[in-house]
Amino acid sequence: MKYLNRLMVSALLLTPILASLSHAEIAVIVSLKNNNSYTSIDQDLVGRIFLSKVKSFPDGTVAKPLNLKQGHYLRDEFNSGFLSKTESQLSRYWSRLRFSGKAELPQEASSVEEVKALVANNPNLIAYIDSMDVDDTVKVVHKY
Amino acid sequence: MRILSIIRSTIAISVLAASTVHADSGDLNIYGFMSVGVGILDSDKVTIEGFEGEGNFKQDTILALQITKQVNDKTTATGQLVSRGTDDFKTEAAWAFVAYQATEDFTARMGRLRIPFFYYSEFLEVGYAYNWVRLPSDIYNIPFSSFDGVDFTQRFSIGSLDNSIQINYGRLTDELNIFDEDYKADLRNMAGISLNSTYGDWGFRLGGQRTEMTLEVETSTAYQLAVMGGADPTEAAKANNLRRIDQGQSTAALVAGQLQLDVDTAEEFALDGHVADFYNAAIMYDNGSYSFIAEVTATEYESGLLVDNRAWLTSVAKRIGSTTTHLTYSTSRDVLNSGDSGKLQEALNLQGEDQSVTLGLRYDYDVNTALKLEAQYHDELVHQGVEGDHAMLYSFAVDVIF
Repeated sequence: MKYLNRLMVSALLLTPILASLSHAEIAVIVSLKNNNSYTSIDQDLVGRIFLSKVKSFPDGTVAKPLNLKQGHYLRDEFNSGFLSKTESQLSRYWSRLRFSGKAELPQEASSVEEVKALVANNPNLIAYIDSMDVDDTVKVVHKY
Repeated sequence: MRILSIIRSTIAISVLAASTVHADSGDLNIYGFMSVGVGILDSDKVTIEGFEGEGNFKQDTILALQITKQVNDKTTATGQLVSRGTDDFKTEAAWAFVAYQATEDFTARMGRLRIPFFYYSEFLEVGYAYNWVRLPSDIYNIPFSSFDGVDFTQRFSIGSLDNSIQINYGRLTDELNIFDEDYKADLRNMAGISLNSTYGDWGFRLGGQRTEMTLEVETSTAYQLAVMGGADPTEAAKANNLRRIDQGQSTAALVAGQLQLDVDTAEEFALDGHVADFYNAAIMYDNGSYSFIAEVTATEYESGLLVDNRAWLTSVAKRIGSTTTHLTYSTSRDVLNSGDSGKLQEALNLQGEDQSVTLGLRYDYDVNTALKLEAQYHDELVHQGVEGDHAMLYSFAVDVIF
């Protein structure tokens, strides 16, 4: 009984640590030349931009989402955290838009390095990376 | 440290160079969707969704290729070629249009487009895009789906409510398959407006379409004489090669006379530029685990040969992992005109009433493939004016996008 209790206590203590280990903090980034601030962009807006429901930033400039490649661990976290959808559900969502000629899927990059390089040079792009990878080439507008 | 930043910018430049090349060669894109399926009906007394008893592998089979070319910054050209098992795999352009994106929020398209009748209408053949093996025919049974013309879409947001208004105008000249028979048709001044909105997990839709229908329908004097001489109407129609609407039009004047109804059949029971209106409203919810849709439609025909209709469906789905279980009820009810015109419609046995319950499973095998299993109970409450029959339809399908 004692052991069982101890086991349960240590399991309880470990749970948040394990959870934080498996959950990377996602930083939503734009170019330094992008004039939108941290306060103006929330999680809901990021999601709508990535689903092509909104096509501009709060300041009126054009917003283009940049995705990581399918299968990238950050993409999976972004999908569930910001879009509340699995890859299959997103695939279905985009098939409706693509095959009715309404919208195309977001542009894709294969690595975080590529994402940062593209975002740094294009004030219209919005993307997400692991917050540990943030440097002074890009501006963070949201963290999750 | 300096070396590191040099390395960094080198990576950045090479990445940029690589992605530019990628964008250029990616300008011409080919996508597609495909469905293969089999359906088995447990009765040979009724026809459901085009199935007439026994195993049928062809009914649900469909292949489509979509080619999109970015012509310049604001212009794209798109063609979607569809080949259907129901049409002996003849290939037809469901879409063929040039789109001009004037601003981020305004797009104009011209060419062959889909008519946005109802919520699923613009992707009605993309099986992968919905849970069912095929769309509920109680609602999705309009015998035409494309038109030639223009449409304009304006997107706008009010707070977190994202909307798009679509206006379309055009014409369709084609053979229409109605009650499994072909009619040459000219649908002029096809015009409509649709509003689609989303708010968080919620979606809303309102739509209306109007067109002036002209069908090449035959009135047969030989048939009329035979019926007046006491011949069985069905036999006489067969003998004179009359289709259902031909028979309706040929019989209308006779029956109106016999029953002493005050109907100008030449004017009211004809299809010569007669207006047809299609209205629709829908509400959707999807939080990733649970989803729901309710959709209601109303169809109004100026001509008495086609009966006004009310239909609705409601469907709930629950997703666990890759498996989605869904349950749907749909119903369609014809509404006779008021007064003598309605009495004539009734005497011509034009009206029908149907309902269906569908229970299905969708398994997302991977991000581009869905397997579906479905059982549908279909009840023809009224079929061509008399009590109908009921049956079970079991279906299996594989839907792929690429």
